[in-house]
Amino acid sequence: MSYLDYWKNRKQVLGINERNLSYISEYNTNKAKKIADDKVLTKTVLNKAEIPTPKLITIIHNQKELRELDFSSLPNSFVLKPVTGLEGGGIEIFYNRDKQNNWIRGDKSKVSPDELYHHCIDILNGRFSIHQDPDSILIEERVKIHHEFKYYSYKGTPDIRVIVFNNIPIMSYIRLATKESAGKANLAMGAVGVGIDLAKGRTTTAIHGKSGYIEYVPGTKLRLSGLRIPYWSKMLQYAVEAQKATNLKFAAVDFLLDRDLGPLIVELNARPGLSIQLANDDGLRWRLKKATGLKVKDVEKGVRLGKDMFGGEIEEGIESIAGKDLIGIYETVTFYGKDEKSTATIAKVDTGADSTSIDKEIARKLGFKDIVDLVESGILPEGVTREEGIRISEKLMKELPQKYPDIHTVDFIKSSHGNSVRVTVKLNIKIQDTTFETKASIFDRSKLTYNAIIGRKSLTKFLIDPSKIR
Amino acid sequence: MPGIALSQFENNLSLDPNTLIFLVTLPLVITIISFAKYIMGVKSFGIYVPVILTFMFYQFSRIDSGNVSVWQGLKYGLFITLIVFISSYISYKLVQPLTLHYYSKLAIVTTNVTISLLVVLFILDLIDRGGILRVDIFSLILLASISERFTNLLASKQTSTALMLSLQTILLGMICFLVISSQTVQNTFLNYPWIILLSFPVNYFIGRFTGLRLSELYRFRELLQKDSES
Repeated sequence: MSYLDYWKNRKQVLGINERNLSYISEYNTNKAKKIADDKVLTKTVLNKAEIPTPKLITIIHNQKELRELDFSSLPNSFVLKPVTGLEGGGIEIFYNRDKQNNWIRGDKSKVSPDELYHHCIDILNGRFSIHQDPDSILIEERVKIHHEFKYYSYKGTPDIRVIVFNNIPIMSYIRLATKESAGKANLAMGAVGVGIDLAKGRTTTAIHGKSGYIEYVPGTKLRLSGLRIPYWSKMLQYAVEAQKATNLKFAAVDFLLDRDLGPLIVELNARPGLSIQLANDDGLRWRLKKATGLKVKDVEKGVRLGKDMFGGEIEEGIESIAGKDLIGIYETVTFYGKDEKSTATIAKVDTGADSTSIDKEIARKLGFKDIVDLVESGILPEGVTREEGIRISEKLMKELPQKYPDIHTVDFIKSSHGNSVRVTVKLNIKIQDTTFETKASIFDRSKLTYNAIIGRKSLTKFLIDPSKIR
Repeated sequence: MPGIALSQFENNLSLDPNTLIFLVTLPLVITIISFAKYIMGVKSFGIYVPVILTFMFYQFSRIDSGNVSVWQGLKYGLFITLIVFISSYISYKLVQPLTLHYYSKLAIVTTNVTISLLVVLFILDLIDRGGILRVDIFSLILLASISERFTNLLASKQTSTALMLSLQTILLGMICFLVISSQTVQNTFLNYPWIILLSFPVNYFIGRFTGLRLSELYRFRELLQKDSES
C-alpha cells in the first residue's frame, strides 16, 4: 500500500461534490425530487404502482385538522412523522397506551396527549421540514419487527436501504438501532450500518456510528456479518420498480421489513448519504460508472445486472468449489410436516450428533400429534443398557409402524443424556435456501437449550463454519 | 486598469472607508467560504453566518484613529460571539423540556441572549471605556439572528453536531476576518478593484469541482487504504 494507491483509490469513492453535480443534478428532475421529499406523495405514487408501503392511518394538513382530530380514536400503536422531514427528525413511534391515555415509546418513556399535540404543532410550523416551511403530519401503522432481526436491533425496526441507479441496484446496507442511538436507525446517532452483499442478501462488513468498523452487535457476541436478509430478491425488485414509478434516476429506497407483510417502502431519498460506502467497505463511484448507460429493459434484468456486477464477493469462493452452502453453528431452520404444516426455530448444528432430533412440541405443530402422545405415554424406555435398548427397539419397530404409519424407524440412540429408544419420522427441512428430506427423532427437549439439533446425517449438503455464530 | 484605483477616491467620498473596504473584499470572503466548503469540506451554517461574523470581527477591530487593530477585533469579536453561543445554548437547554410552541421557545432564547449581551456590554463599558463602543445596532441584530440559526440547529440536530458546526463557522469567520484586515489585501483591492472579476472564473472552477473534499479524504481513509483494484 503506497501513497500512490491511496491517490488512485479515490477514483473508486463517491464524494458529496460529485454526488450533487454529476448524479443528483444530472439525473433527478425537480418533479421526481418533489415526490421523494413528500412522504404522502411517495406513498400515493408507490401504491398506484402496487408497491407495498406501511398502511396509512391519517394525514393532518393544518392546525384546524389537528384540532378536529380525536386522538383517542388513534390505535395504541402507530408512527407519526413530518411529511417532508429530514433524517428522521420529528418522528415518533408509539408502541402502546397506558390507562391515562399516555402513549408509550420504545424506551418506555411516555408522551401525554397534550405533549403530542404540541409536537404536532411544531411539525406543522415546519420545525423539521426541509426549509422550515409549514408541513403536514403523516400517521401510519407501526411496522412490526421481523424475527430475523429481533436480537440485532435495539427496540426499533432495522431499516434496509438499496441505492438504485439507472434501474440497477448499486449498493445496499441495513441500519440497526442501538441503545446509543435510542432505538433509532440513524447512523449519526450511533446506530450500526451493515453492508449487504447484493447477490446473496447477506450482511458483510459493519460500521458503528461514525466511529469505525465493528464485528459484533454492541454489547453482545452476535456477529454482524452473515445475517440473511429475508425477501432479498423481492426487495431489490421493489426498489427498481419504485425507481421506475417515480422516475428518480438516482435514489435510495428505504425499506422496513414487517413480520407479517414483508418488505414495505417507507421512504425514497433523492439525495442518498455516502456512509453506505463505509459500511460496505467499497466505493460507489466505480459502481455508478459501470451502471451508467446500460440498457435495462425490465425490472428482472436490472436486478440481475446489479447482483452480477456488484454482488457475490463473500464466501462465494468456497461455495462455488464445493457446491455447498456455508452455514454456522446456529441456523434458523424451517420444518415441514404433515398437511403442509410448518414451523421455524433456531436449531443447533451439531456435528457430534448422528441424526437430527426435534422437541415434541415442534412435532405436535407439524401434525404428528399421535406420535407425541405415544412418546409421552412412556412406552419408549430411557437409561437402558445397549443390549436391552437394541432388543426393545427391534421389537417396537415390528409393532409400532403398523399402528402409526408416520413412524419411520424406532432407533436405539446413545447420547450424552444416556441410552434411549426413540421413534423417528420423515420430514422436510429447509436450511438457508436448501430444502431436503431427512429423518428426525422426536423426544422431550423442553429442558434442553435448543429445541432442535441438526445431526450429521442431515448435513451432507453443507459446509460448517464454527466461527460463524449466527 | 490601475487608473480607477478606489484609493484615489477615498478622500473625496463621503462613504466610510471601512465600508468601502468591506464591500470590495466581500467577493473574496464569499469565495473563501465556498472554497472552504467545496474543496476543504468545512461545514458552516450556510454562507450568511460566516459573512456576518467576518463583518462583526471587522467592526470590533476598528479603533478611533481609523486604523484597524486585529488583536482588538479578535478579542472582542470572539468574546461577544461566545456570549451569544453560550447564552443561546444554555437557554435552549432550559426551554427544551418545556411544552411550548417552537417560536415561543425561540423568542425566550433570543430574550436571554439580549439580556446576556446587555449585561456583558454594560460591564465591559465600565471596565474599558471606549474600546467596545464600536458595537452598533446593526451588528447586534445580526448577532441575534445568528443566535436564531444556532438555536434552530440545536433543535434539529444533535448537540455535538451543532457544536462542531458552530466551531467551524467561528473559525471560518476568523480566517476571513484575518484575510480582509491584512493591509496588503486591502491595498490590493483598493488599488486594483477589477480583481473582483476574478471571482467569476475562480468560483466557476470551484463550482465544477467533483473531486473528493479534503475532509472526505479523511472520512473515507479506510476505503482509500485498500490495495488498488483494477
